[in-house]
Amino acid sequence: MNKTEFLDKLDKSLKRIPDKDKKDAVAYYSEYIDDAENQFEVIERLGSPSKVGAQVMASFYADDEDIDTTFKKGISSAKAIVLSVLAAPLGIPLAIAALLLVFAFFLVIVALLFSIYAIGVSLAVSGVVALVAGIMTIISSVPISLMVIGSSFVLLSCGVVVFILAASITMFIVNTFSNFAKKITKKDVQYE
Amino acid sequence: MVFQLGSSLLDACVLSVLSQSDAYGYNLTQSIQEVIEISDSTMYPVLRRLKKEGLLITYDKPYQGRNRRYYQITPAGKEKHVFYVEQWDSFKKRVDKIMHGGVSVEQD
Repeated sequence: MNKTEFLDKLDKSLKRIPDKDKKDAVAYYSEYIDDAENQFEVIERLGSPSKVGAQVMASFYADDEDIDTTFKKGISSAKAIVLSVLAAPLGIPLAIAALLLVFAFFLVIVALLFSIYAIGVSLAVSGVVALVAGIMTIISSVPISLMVIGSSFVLLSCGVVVFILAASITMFIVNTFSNFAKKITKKDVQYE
Repeated sequence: MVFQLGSSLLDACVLSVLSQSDAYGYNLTQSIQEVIEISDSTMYPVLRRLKKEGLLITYDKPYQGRNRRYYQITPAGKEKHVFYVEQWDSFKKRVDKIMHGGVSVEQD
């Protein structure tokens, strides 16, 4: 690696520090290499430019004062206010969209549950209707009547099962939600 | 080398060398490397910090058609150097005492 290559890679490896400090660091090593008796030997001794850069950055962030001044210089409060006002037209609609998405998801779950209940209810109702019809045909044909009554029991039991299924799903959702709500409202749970 | 220079000791060495004469990055590093093993990239963060603390200043002098940045100790730096020398003498004495068998456990 020659001097130009080294300094170029060193410069590229320096991130998140002010330009002035970047220039200072690169200038230091440019002089350092020039002052050495053997340029290529010293470049080899210095090792990887990114490691040298990492050392520069580490020392920069080790001093808390540097972080303060960087932030003070980099983002003054006036700039921060301007930035947040400019971001609002994008930020607020995004937040609203996110909330609506969650709400829509919630509505879909509710609708699905409702339809499961509806299936259960309609099965049970058709079971009852079939039972009545079956009993009434006993006068005309016993075998047919028995078959219809049997089917009605099947329908009724299916309806009950589906209804129970919908009910247990509802209980599950309610429990999960209330546990979640408890968790986020009671951060320190006391062990009893 | 088994024992290494901590950052305060490194600061002290730099101030000590500069208290005798101004130096630039390379020859300063070289002089310390005669005595202690440090890598070529160790010095820059140290010099940056000492400058920030006001213990040294820099000035530029042209050399062979290019720039050379020199480091010079300040009055505050000289005070710190004196302090470091005292601290080191005391430290050295105490470590010597242990190392050369001056300290042992009391026998029952």
